[in-house]
Amino acid sequence: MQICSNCKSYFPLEEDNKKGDCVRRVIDRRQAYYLSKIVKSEAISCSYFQEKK
Amino acid sequence: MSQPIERNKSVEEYIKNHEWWWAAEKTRSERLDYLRKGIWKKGAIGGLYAPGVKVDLERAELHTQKAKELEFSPDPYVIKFAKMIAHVLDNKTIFITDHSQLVGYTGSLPNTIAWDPSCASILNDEVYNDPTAIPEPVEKNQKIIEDVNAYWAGKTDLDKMMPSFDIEDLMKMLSGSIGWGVPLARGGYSNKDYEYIMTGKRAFQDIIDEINQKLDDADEEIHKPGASKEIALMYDKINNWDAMIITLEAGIRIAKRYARLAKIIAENFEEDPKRKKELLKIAETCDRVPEKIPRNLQESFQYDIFIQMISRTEAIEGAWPSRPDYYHGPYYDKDVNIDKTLTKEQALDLVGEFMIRAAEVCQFKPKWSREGLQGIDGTWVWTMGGVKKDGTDACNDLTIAFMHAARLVRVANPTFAFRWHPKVKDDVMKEIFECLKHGLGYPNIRHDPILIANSMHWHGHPIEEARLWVHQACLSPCPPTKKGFQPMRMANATVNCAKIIEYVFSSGYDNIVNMQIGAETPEVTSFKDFEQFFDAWVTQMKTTFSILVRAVNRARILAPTLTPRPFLSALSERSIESGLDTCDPSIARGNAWITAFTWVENIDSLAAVKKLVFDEQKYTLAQLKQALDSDWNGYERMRIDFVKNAPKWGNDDDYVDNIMIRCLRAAAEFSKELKCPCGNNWPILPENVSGNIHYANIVGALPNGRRLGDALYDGGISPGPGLDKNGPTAVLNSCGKIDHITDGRAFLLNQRLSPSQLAGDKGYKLWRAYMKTWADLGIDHIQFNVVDDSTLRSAQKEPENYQEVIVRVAGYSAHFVDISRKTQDNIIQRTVQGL
Amino acid sequence: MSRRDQKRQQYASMFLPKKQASDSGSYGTDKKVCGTCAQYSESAYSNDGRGSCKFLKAGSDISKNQPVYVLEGKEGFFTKTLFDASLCKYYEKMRMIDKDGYECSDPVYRRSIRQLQNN
Repeated sequence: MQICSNCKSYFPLEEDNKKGDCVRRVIDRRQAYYLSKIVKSEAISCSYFQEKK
Repeated sequence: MSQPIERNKSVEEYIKNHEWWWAAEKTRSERLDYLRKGIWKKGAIGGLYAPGVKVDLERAELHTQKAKELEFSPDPYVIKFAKMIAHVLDNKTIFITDHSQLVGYTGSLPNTIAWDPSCASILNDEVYNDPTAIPEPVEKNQKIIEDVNAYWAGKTDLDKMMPSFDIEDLMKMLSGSIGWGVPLARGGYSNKDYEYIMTGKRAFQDIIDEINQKLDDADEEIHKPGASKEIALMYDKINNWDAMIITLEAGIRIAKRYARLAKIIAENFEEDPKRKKELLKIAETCDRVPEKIPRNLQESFQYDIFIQMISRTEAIEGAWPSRPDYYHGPYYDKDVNIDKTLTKEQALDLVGEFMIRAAEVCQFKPKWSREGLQGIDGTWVWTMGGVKKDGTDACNDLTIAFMHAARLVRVANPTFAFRWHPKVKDDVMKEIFECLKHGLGYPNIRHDPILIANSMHWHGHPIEEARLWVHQACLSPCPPTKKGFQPMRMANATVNCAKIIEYVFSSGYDNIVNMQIGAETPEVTSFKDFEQFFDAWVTQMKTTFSILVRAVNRARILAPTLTPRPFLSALSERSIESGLDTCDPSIARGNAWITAFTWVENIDSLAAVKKLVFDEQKYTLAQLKQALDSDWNGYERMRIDFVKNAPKWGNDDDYVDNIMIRCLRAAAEFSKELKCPCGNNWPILPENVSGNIHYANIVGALPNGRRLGDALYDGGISPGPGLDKNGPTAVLNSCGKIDHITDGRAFLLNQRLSPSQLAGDKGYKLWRAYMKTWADLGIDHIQFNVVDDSTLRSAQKEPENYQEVIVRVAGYSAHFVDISRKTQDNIIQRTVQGL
Repeated sequence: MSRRDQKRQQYASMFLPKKQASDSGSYGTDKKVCGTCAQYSESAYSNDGRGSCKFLKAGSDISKNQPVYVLEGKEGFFTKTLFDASLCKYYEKMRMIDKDGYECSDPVYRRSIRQLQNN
């Protein structure tokens, strides 16, 4: 099962090993940016999942 | 399809042709150009948000999720509410834009508008009914909105407040006919105690330490042997302090999330070494503020942005009271002049970006707000210049840097308001002039000595506090001090004054919304002389003002318990000291005012009735009433008579100018009878924003010759468009007859100048001479549109080629292409004054 | 009944926040709803779907099988844009004169845009 902690975009929090920042690149019509959302390490991954090497 | 304009001219050519926006594009840095073009425009065009801008459902869902979780928690409401804010800040999506140096946004993505579902069910229904701003897939997201709305039905601030208002007053207010706003502590706009939080003496951790000391002292007190009323009240104070700490700690945590994100990007994604360094600087900045005191300009700006972002998570904020050159100036001086860690150009990038961050802020607002503030989310009127506490000139290098940055980034919002006083140096005045010449429509100019005296007269602010004043929103001064700052100016005390004269003819019945709103004054045809007619006008004025003010007063009294503001309280010395919510009237001095939209229609209408009905006896009141009831249909000749042959305000004509004075003084006298819960006065303040368009279809035919649907006058004490026939000095002379200290709180004056007149040194001298007349006459405000008709008409035809043309609407500026056609035409109609 | 109670009864329905979604959503302009009637005046305050009738007066009720029509009195009948008007004998379909959502509202002529989209 693909879970968030196995994803390239996942960066674990130092203070809580059950959570991490999910960081993604977005380019919209006007600007490019990196976004971050707090996710649980064991959560089922989303459609942007890319396995960590 | 229109052809894109060729953009290969030189900067000098663009300047010569007054194409300031293309000159700015070529002159500003690559960073500023990228960030400027990256803005998703959030101001509504007329009633709707621009294509691509979507409501942010994430915030609404997070807020609702936590509210459900806490529903059966035994915590008092203020603590639950603080936890809801903390949950949003801890879990919302954050982002860092390429090339940026400052971070922080109200929504989760750059194109989203934050929606707070806990303020008003009426607002939540508007979200559901919005035709363009629901994100894809629409059907799925409508279901989410439906579920959120269903949860909050009966629980929102307004739902809780409404049973406590007078039902009749409430219905009149909700008709949308006379008022403009909601009486909510979380639905207006808040000033801040900047003297407490922005002077470099403390930051969030210091405040937490202060509160902890208060909690320790309180804890000791309540456990000593004994009991009293003070001890019984102490428990609420403890809850308030606890809630304040929850919000401050959440504020520190979200900043550290940004720090972490910047570091992750630098270490894992970014390859350009220069950008890596910038990202690590962002990380260092966000690690530092708002927890600790800023040390440099970037940290100072970032601290300010975080405060605004968190404040806008706690409440819907309709304005941005600020004095950025005064409070950030010492850091600019340190970085650029003393330590020389920044060049002027690097500092300019920060200043420009600070403005861009403000420009992109947006929260979902109700229809009356979007229509009344077309093209912008709220009035971010930043106060510049003025004097220090001791009365000496406060202008500094950052004042000039802001003017320069404004000409480069060309955002309509924030807009500047410059506090002029006789000791302002010429180089500052030249910078202001350049901004006006470049067609920014700002800064508007405020007469500082007059307004300091005004603050002392109406609200009793001591002179040292009055000297520190900032714009609470468009025009009204407010000291950012412990007892002086206003925590919630509710736009509800905003009156559609054109209804006053309309109600004289209908005995208070509103034919547009089909209800009795005004006073049931005698049948207008029974009046035998102008004095009886005027008496009825005064009665209608008092009635409409009272309905709206009563609601605000009631909301202010209820605010601390029903709609507390723990974060704003955490930034307020009076709250830290007392343990009371910052909206509690007992700890503030009061700074209320009534915004008088559509004021001058009354003056011109009264003058027309006096002249044509009573003095010349050309028509009877019965004939006039019939014509008005028919919307002038079949009475066109009579209507033209009332337009052309009755004197109009703004022409230095005592006949009508004396009526203006009389009306203002009747209102001023009544203002002293109206008291706010702090015990202070409610002076009036004539101005409009774009209320003259919003109300166009709500105000019926009037004796000044208008028909239902015609745009109303553009505001304050500005003459009606095209009705000032005697030149700019006549306008100033009319306005100078008003006593700008005692006749009201402030008075908006729009003037339109021709760009060709302002060219070169000669243009500057002409403008300075005009401003000298303005200052000598003691007029408190003036703002300018400097853009010619041909540019505006071209912009109407090819908006994509004129995206950065700015116009002054009323108390704010907007991009011309971002306002409705009717508003555009109204601006074009304004008389171009020859200096 | 006191004057205050009368007013409360009259206005009460306008304050009940919606707990169900049943009176939300687009019905389309082919349906007889108050919002498409020539006599309807939309709220000048909000896009939340409130309004009033210029023809029927306060006290009317068009939701019943035998509608109650009050034609005398000052106060208009408060209703909602999507209120079912199929039983109202005075319903008169308005002329849809414009669909421009970028202009400011006109309580007399304009309607919540959703209703205009199906035209």
